[in-house]
Amino acid sequence: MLGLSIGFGIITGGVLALAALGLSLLFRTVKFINFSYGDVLALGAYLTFCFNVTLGLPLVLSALLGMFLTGIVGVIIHKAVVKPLKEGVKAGPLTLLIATMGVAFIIRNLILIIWGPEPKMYNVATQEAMQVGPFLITPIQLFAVISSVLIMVLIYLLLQFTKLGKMIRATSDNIDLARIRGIRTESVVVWTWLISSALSGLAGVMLGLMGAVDLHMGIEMLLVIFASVIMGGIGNPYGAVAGAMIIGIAMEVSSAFGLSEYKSALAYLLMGVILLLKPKGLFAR
Amino acid sequence: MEGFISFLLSIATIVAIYSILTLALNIRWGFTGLLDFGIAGFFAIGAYTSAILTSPPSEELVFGVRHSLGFGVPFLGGLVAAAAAAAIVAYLIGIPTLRLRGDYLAIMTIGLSEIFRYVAVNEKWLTRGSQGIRNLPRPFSGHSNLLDALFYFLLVLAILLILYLISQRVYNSPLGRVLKGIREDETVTEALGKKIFRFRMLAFVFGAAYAGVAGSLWAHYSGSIMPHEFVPDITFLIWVSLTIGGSGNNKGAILGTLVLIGLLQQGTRFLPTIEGYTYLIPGLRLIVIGFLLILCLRFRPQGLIPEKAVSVEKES
Amino acid sequence: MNFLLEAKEVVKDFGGLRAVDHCSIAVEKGSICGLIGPNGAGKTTLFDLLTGFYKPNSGSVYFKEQRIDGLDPHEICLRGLVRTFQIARELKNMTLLENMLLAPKGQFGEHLAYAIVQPPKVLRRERENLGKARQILKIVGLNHLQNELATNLSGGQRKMLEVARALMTDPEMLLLDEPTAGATFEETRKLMDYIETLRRDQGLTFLIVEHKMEVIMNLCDQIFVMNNGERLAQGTPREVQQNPQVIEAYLGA
Repeated sequence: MLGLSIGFGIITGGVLALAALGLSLLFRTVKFINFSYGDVLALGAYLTFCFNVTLGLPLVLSALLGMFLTGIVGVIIHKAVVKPLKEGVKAGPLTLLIATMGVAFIIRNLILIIWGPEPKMYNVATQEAMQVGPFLITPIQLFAVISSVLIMVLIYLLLQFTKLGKMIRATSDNIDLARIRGIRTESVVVWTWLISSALSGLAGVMLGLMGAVDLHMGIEMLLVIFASVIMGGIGNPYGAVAGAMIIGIAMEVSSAFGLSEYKSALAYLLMGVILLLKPKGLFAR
Repeated sequence: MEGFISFLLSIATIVAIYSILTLALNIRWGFTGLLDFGIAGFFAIGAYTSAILTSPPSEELVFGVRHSLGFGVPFLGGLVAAAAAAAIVAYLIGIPTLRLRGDYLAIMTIGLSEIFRYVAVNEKWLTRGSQGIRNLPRPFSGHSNLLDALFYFLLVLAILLILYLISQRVYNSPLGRVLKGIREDETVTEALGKKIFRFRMLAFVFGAAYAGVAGSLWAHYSGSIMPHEFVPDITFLIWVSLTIGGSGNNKGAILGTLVLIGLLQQGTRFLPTIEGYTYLIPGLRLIVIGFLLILCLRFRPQGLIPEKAVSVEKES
Repeated sequence: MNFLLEAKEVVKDFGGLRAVDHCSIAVEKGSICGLIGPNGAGKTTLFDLLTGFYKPNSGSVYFKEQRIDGLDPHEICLRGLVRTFQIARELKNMTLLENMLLAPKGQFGEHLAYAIVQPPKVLRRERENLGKARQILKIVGLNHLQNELATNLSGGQRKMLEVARALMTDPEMLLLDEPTAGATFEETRKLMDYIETLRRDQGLTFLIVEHKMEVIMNLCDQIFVMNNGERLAQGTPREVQQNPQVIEAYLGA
């Protein structure tokens, strides 16, 4: 029984890690908490639904298109909301947090108007759970975990070895210094929004595959994602991944012990306790 | 005609109740700079405390199980208890969380208000779960519907006025100065000998008490409460109200609530539902409100009524 | 010898960087001391350590012969040791008077019940503080701006406000971090005179970080020189001026 829960935990953690990685990357570069991240995640899931079910495209293609569009939405948020606020009124991180809360509600209600409140499902064949070691897992879940890991490795490679990755890292560390060294920081920021939002969209698709695509999945996930990111040490993308795994496993294991209604509550409590003991998170840089 | 007056009274009452919530947020964010996204949670605590205490003792079937509830406490007792309960919970939560930096506090407060909602849904023995609590008494009732509504509105208005005056007093006092100092520059305020944590806690608890009162008033206005009412949407609406009206400023808080809740939210209630597009109007409403928030932050961050510097001449 | 303020071998590390390296200073009551050194020498960090904004990694700080390292900044202020900041931190959206009135200790009106009720003793204290604030503002030449928002002041005026505000806490000792930065010649002169007056008439003690040599040399009894986090030298202005190590540190910096 415990093994099963840990298995579910790894799956949940894996998808959560994808989302947490995206948020952490973004925070490191723009230095404020993007409150619309969860609803962008939901939007990614819904857009993919649109391609997959409404338009009948194959799932992987739909997911890729959804991911790409979601990335664009992220860039729009940057250009239309964040940049004008920063330049127009020198908005600080708290103001931007509040503003992105507005964006979150806008996106959530757009979803409500376009798709309505009933949960949606993707066009996938019904799944038989297979036995993999001590875990019970469906092919979709296996696919989700493996893809998540692959994408995270890709991101790591991107950050470490590509020119863009190096520029992103330089900009995150010290934006003024990066600008002086000739890096076009505005492009870097745009790319970061693109990648971060695309990651969240993908995480949304995965969650939708494993459960359902639902209007509130954004805000529900958002707090758990925050918990992972903050717990792992804000600004440390790999810490966020670790935080996500810990929270994912903790949530599912606690569920096995009969506390399933309070699953999400556990995530916040865990974050709260860690923050009390180590105010900068577990793996702060 | 009576229907129209009734409609106006209901909007007015709701605006007045929500104004108390905006005053609460103003104490925490406007005065002290505490980024608080959990106002809805304290609203819920106030509502439930009052509901549980003031319900006439009764037994009901809650999902097939006999459940008794209610102590028949009079309205005023429920109100005071609501404020006290919210304040106590705020104090307990504040001890670990008020040392956190601003943006973390924001997230923790949302998390906590969601936890309250889970508790309301799951602890059926206390709150009757998602079925909610019904048949809440309204004071001064027993006359015609219209008179009942009028009396209740006047009661809420009176309470709003008292709370407004108290908040103004605090704003113009040495305490208000320290809170503003914390908002402007915490480091300096600390360097000048003020214990930051104590004042943050005070603002947090005081704001909670206000939210608790609002919750109690809401429960009795509405007659029944259910967990799914107390969602982050409420917190969002209050934030936009405060931002539009003028953060830091009690008059602004009330004006903002009037504009946002009165005009936008409630005033558009009468718009017909378009066939086949049930969610168009409610969705559009929140989208417009979201845009309003962003536009306000960009073009008029000080709000409709900017905060005026306290001119000390008047006091001496 | 009893020193009012003493730092004994304080050390502060930030990650791999040692900002303050076994620094010891001792300030006598009633003296005006200077703290000088090239940029990055650790002067402001030392101030942070003395006033509780950082805890030293090792070493100790004593004020009035009681140990204060490890206390919170507000506690240290309440004991009579107050500081100002290198970059003026005026409370921007509050008036000068509000800035001043924030500072006094022991205001009853800071308690919720008193704030709401505002009984006579609260109002009386407000009037007293108001009088004192206006008096100080007049001496530093800012009284005519008392109801102006602090954000509208010039650079030098903001630093004056910092000093004036610190005085409202009724301190025994003030740590001033570059109080004349951005001040005009006139303003500098006025501040120097005021510091002398405060020392003479009220027995206040000062430790001042400064870059303007004429201020340091003319005002201070003792000067501490810092470089690379260490106390490089100490002595009277003349002694320090002639110290070869000091000369090298400034030329070499």
